[in-house]
Formats: sequence, structure tokens, C-alpha cells
Amino acid sequence: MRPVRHGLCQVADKKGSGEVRVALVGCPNVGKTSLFNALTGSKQYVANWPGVTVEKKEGVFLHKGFRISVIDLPGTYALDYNSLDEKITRDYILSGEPDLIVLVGDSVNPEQSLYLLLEIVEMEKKVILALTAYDEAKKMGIKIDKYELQKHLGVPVVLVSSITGEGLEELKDLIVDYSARKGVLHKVHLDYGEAMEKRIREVLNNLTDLPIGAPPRYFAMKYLSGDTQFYQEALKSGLPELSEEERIAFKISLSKKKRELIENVIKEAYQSSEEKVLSLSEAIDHVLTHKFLSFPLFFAFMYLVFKFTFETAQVFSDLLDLAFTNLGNLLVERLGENAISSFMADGLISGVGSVLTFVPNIFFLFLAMGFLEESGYLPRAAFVMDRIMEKFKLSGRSFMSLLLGFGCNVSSVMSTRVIDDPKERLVTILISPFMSCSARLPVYLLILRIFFPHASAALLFSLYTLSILITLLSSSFINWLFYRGRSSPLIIELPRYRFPTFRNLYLYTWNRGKHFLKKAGTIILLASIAIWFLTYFPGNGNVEESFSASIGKALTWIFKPFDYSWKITLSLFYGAVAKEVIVSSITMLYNFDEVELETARSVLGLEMDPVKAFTFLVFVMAYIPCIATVATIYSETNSLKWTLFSVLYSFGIAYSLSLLVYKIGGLVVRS
Amino acid sequence: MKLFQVTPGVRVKVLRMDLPGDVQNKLVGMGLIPGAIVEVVKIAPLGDPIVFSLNGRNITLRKKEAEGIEVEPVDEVMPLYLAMFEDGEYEVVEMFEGKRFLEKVKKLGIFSGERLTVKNGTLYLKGRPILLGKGEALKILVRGVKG
Ligand SMILES: Nc1nc2c(ncn2[C@@H]2O[C@H](COP(=O)(O)OP(=O)(O)OP(=O)(O)O)[C@@H](O)[C@H]2O)c(=O)[nH]1
Ligand SMILES: [Mg+2]
Repeated sequence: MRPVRHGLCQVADKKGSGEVRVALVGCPNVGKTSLFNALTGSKQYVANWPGVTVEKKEGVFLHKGFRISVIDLPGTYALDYNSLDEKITRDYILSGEPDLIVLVGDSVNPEQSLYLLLEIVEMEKKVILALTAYDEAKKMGIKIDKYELQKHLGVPVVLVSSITGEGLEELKDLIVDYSARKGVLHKVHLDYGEAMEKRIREVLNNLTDLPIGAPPRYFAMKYLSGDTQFYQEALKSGLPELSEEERIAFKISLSKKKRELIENVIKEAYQSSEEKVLSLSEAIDHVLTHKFLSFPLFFAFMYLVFKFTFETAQVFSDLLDLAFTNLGNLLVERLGENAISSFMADGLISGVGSVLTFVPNIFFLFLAMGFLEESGYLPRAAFVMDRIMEKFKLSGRSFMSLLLGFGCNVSSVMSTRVIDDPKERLVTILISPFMSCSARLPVYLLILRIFFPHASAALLFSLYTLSILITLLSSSFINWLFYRGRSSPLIIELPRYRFPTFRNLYLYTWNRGKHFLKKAGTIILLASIAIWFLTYFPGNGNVEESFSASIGKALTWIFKPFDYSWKITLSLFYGAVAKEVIVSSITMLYNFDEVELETARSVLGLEMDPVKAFTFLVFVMAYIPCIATVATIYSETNSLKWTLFSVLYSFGIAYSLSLLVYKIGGLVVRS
Repeated sequence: MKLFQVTPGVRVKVLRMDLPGDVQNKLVGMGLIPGAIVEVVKIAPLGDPIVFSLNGRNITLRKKEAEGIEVEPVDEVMPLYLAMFEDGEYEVVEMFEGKRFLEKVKKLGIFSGERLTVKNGTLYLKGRPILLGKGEALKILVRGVKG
């Protein structure tokens, strides 16, 4: 097959309106968002696994007097109409909204990217090919002749790297110049050979009126290959039905011809050092997915992450703690004991400060998660774990989403969008709040340090293990309740390993950590102020006579079997807003500074023994998702029923599980 | 032979695919079409899923789906284990190390250059049926003989 050119289009001398809309389209994980960030200076979420971006994102940059809006789209391998991503992307391209499309392709393995490019060329859209990760191609000794690519594909080509910045200026220039041109560089018309061309011509001749929203030739080909969208439209407009075999055969022939062309183009334009040595990526892979090593390594990594956030970060946490305590004491000293000093010291500093002390732990956790996501290990872990997940009616893909939940449940719920199977997706959404997120960490650390100063690491680990178990068993249970179906297939492209750059890690950690800081400055601050008022009035500082006391005492019946005091009950109630608020509530209600573990131990110790304290943590681990997660579950499932289910189910599980722990713990300790 | 039967390191060509619509669409979109050359790169520690490489990219697939993909070896030389899926005449090219193993095959009368016949999944040497374990069949490399 050879491309036939339809002549060069004239260059328009007309000045652009000054506004250009550019859509970034490409396969999953090629580096669209990285390019988006590099062009617009944004700090969107980038990671080394397919399916990171799940929403359209828009950013702007100025170049040569033009205002260029860039739209980052979710990645797709093809532009059929099968998955949600494909639908979103294709609709957007065909809508005519973008003036120009930048096809972001992989420099190292361009085949699939070029396939996508040809699809867009057939949609007769103006498109630039930006082959990204050029730095990696160079490192591997791959030589790319961009003029050769340009010649065969009929579109402008740039080689770029979002990491080194190479080619970015060229791309910007090209975007401005090319969008100001009328028409495309040259219209490439792929010739599919006489038999297929004849079929296409027949269809075109039978088209009574021109299809809306798609070029006729493209429409005809999509009709012949039984495209979900256009086949139906074609039938409506009077074209005859085709047998399924014919449609599939046509579709596969189209794909085959394109791939043949691409193979030839790559042969012409690519040169690589031939000898195939065991690459570093393969060597690492060999060890990480090894028959006997993979599981021990996975757990070792998890343990390291855990140790890192728990021990290494603790040094910094202790320093912050000291600072906040001293600040509080200083204020009281200066202002004397009154409502204002109490508001500042007990309300603001104790409430928000107690949560802020955990910033180092949380940042360290995100740093470790960033490493996990950026290195490319995450999808490998999914591959290794798939068999186990299958036992719980899940797949390695949902494993990836769930693992993200250790950071934040909201992001794990969001990331389920790429799960193709709707049932598996729903189940993953419903179980993901059980994964113990970073917001629960402060509560664990506070209580464990008070009650189990010598065994806190082991108990923390057991809490996390428990959270994973509950998550998995819940999947079996929910599946048993509602579906009893099969689990969906696992088709994931494994990315190249990448050593995370300092900048990427910093961006990742800061983006995630910033969210936590924001929360401390908004929800937790407001909650602390509210709690302070409720706790200070009307007793003027006497906690036992406060509004809080009335609310708390009215709620204690809920935890009758556990014998929780009203303060503990109330902290759980307030904690429904965000789990960190539990920490604020406890420090305020009991009025202690964290640094004084001894005082804390003596006040809390009056009401709780170690068994009760651990039961409390089990409850905190499992009980209702925070408000942000509930809202996300609602917006992602679009169903009040499932949202309610999630809340009630988790409460039920938390209650029965902690009751079990309480009873067993009681037996063990008493005997 | 089906893709899930292929051992790592052997390159095969896709002949037919018979999969549920959504899975087939996704794989076709990713470039897995009849005529494509793939290689099974790795089998997961617990035996499932597998990773195959397609045009330099590594893609995971569960065995259940790999059962629906009919393939044939590309290279002339392949492990005897794979040859057992396809009736025909084969010539022994090479045998891997292993003292006990070499002794056993010697006893059976299998040497380099020897002709073997596969019929209905059973192996014959000079008309005599021979039983070999999977591990053993993997250690013997054979080449298909035309005619
Ligand atoms: N070396 C190198 N790595 C890159 C480059 N561009 C992206 N990456 C890495 O490639 C991985 C994927 O990048 P993303 O920008 O998240 O890819 P994406 O196309 O947005 O992915 P999805 O949103 O999942 O479709 C990340 O690990 C990036 O650090 C580049 O130019 N050079
Ligand atoms: Mg992205």
C-alpha cells in the first residue's frame, strides 16, 4: 500500500484570531500529561502506568502573541467506539472543537502511535506528530529520521522530550504556524487495494446525504467495519445490513493494511543498533516478576514504604510537635487563661496543629507512593497479583486502583474509570474505602504511641493487613450478594521501567501533600473551630458542661457494647467529616499536648485499656468513608443507592469487626 | 496450537482469534490481529496471567483469553513440547544438558538428527510410541521436516 498525495494546500496569509485550541491525543502512558505540563507549566498528575489521566484537563500557554489552549485527554490505543475513553476522545476530535491535534507518540515504540495517527488522518483532521520521550530513544541508540516520517505520513513531525525540554520550542512554533495555515499539509489518502477500495466506493455512491460529523470516506470505512456508532447511523440512513463476518473481516483488513504501511515507514525512518542485549528493563523485570522472588519482594517493598513513613518521618514529626506545643504554651503565658487564649491554643493550635504534626509522615508516604508509581512497578505488581485477585473476583487492574488507596481513597475511586468491566469497576469503588488511606495514619500513630509505645510498628502493620483483608473479602461478599459473575480480563501494557526523576517525585509528593495541607487549612480548621466552640460553651471551658458533652452523651448508646466514653464516641462522630478530625477532637476534648505522652496516657488511660484502644483503631480503619470519598463515590457511580450502601456497609463491617476484636482481645488479656 | 500453550521465548504468528467481542476489540485495537507476530515473554509466578510482546510492547493477558487465540510457530526450530501440538515429521536438532536426562533419551534411542513423528498428540520414534514429560520435551529442540 502506498500513500497517495492530494496536493499541497495553500498557506494562508490570514492572521490567526490569536486563539488556538490544541488537543493532545495518544496511547496510554506515552507522556501526554508530561508534555501538557511542559507546555503549559501545569502540575498535573503524571505516573508510569497506563490510565493515569481520567478526565479532560485544560491549560494555556502564550506563544508569539497567540493564546494556545491545550487539552489533555485520557489515553487510548485506538479510536473505535468501544470503551469510554475511546468514545470521549473520538467525539472530541470529531466535534471540530480543537483547531489542531497533537498526536503524542512514543519515540521508542512508535507502531501503535502511528496507527492512531493514521486514524486521525482518516478523520481528515489537522494533526502534528510529536514523538516524545526522545531522550530515551537517544539513550537506546535509536536514530529517527523525522523528514522520512513526514514524507510518508504527510504530517509535520517533531521529536520532543518533556524531561529535557528538547524540541518544545519547535513544537510551539509548529503549533502556531500550522494552525494558521488553511487546510492540512498534504492530504494523505491510504490506498487499501482494489477490492477494498471498490467496496468503499460503492458505499460512497449509495450515500444519499452526507453523514454528519464525519468525513464520507471515514464514515464508509467505519460502516463497513461495523463500528458501534457509525454502523447504526448508516443503517438509519438507509445503507444495507452487513453480515458479522464481513464486518469483522473488513475491520481486520483495514487494520492489517495500516500496520503494513506503518511497518514500512518505520523501516525507512528508524535505525537502531541491532544487537539485542538483555536490556536493563528486562533484567529488572526478571527479578521483580520472578517465580519465587516476586512475592517476598513485593512484601519487602511494602514493609519498607511503611517503615519509611513510620520511622524515618517520625523524627520530623516530633520536631513539629514540640514546636506546636511550645507555641500553644507561649500563647497561654502571654494572654493568660481566657476564652481567647483557649481558642487559639486549644482550638486552633491543638486542633489543626495536632493534625499538622503528621505532615512529615504523610509526605514521606506520598514520596514512597510516587516512587512506586513512577518507576513502573505498579503494573508489574498487578501482573504478579492477578491470580490472587481473581480468587476475590477482581483483577490485577483493580489491584492497582486499590493500592493507590493507601494514599487517598478519592484517587483510587477516580482511577477505577479505566476498568473496562462495569461490574468490576463498581465493586472496586465500593471496597476501596477500606484501604487504609493516609488520613487515618495520624489517628493510628497518636493512639499507638500512647498505648503501645513498644509494639506500635507491629500493630500498625497488622492494621494495614487487616484493611487489605477486609477489602478483598468485601469484594467476594459483594460479588456473592449481587453478581456471582466472572472477573474481567487483564489486558495491561507494561511500561518501561523508569528511574523517577527528582522533579517528578517532587511534583508528585507536593501535589498530593498539598491536598493534605489544604484540607488542614479548610475542613480541619473549620471543624476545629466548630469543635472548640461546642466544647468551650456554654460551660466556659468546663468540658463536662459543654454542648459537646450533651451530643456525646446522647450518642454513647451506639457504642454500648464497647463501653466507649462520650468523648471517644464524639470523636468518631466528628471524624465522619475527615478522619484527621478524630485527632483534633481527641486532643481538644482531653486537652493534652501530644508531646506529653505521659499526660496523654494518664488521661486517656482512665477510660481506655490497650484492648479498647486497639478496638477503636480497628473501628477507625473501617468505618464510613470521609465526606470527600462519599461524594466521589456518588459522582462516579451516579447512584444514591450504591453510595448509601457503601456508607452503611462499611459502618456495619467496622462495628462487627471491632466488636469481634474487642471480645477476643478481652479474652486474651483476661486469661 | 493456542497462545496459552506456547512456552516463553518462542515466537508465534497469530492465525485466528475467537474471543468475546469486547476483549477481541480491545486486542485488535492494540494490534493483535491475524498475521501479527508475538512472543510469550513471561508467565506469572502463579501460572497465570502471561505477558506477550507485540512490536516491542509487553502486554498482559490471562490464560483464559489466550485460549481463544490460535497461533503457529514462526521459527523452524522449536522445543519438542510445542511440536507435539502439530502432527508431522520432526528432526532432532539439539538437546540440552542434564546428565540423567541425556542418559534417558539415549536409552530411548533419541539422538541429534533422529526423525520423530507426532500423530494425534503422541510421539513416535521409528513407529514406537514414546512418553516424555513436559520438562523433558522442553529440553529437546526439533525442526519440522517438510513432506
Ligand atoms: N524519559 C522520559 N520520560 C517521559 C517523558 N514523557 C513522559 N515520561 C514518563 O512517562 C510516564 C508516563 O507519562 P504521563 O505523562 O503520565 O503519560 P500519559 O500519556 O499522560 O498517560 P495516561 O494519562 O495514563 O494516558 C511517566 O513516568 C513520565 O515520567 C519524556 O519525554 N522522557
Ligand atoms: Mg495523562
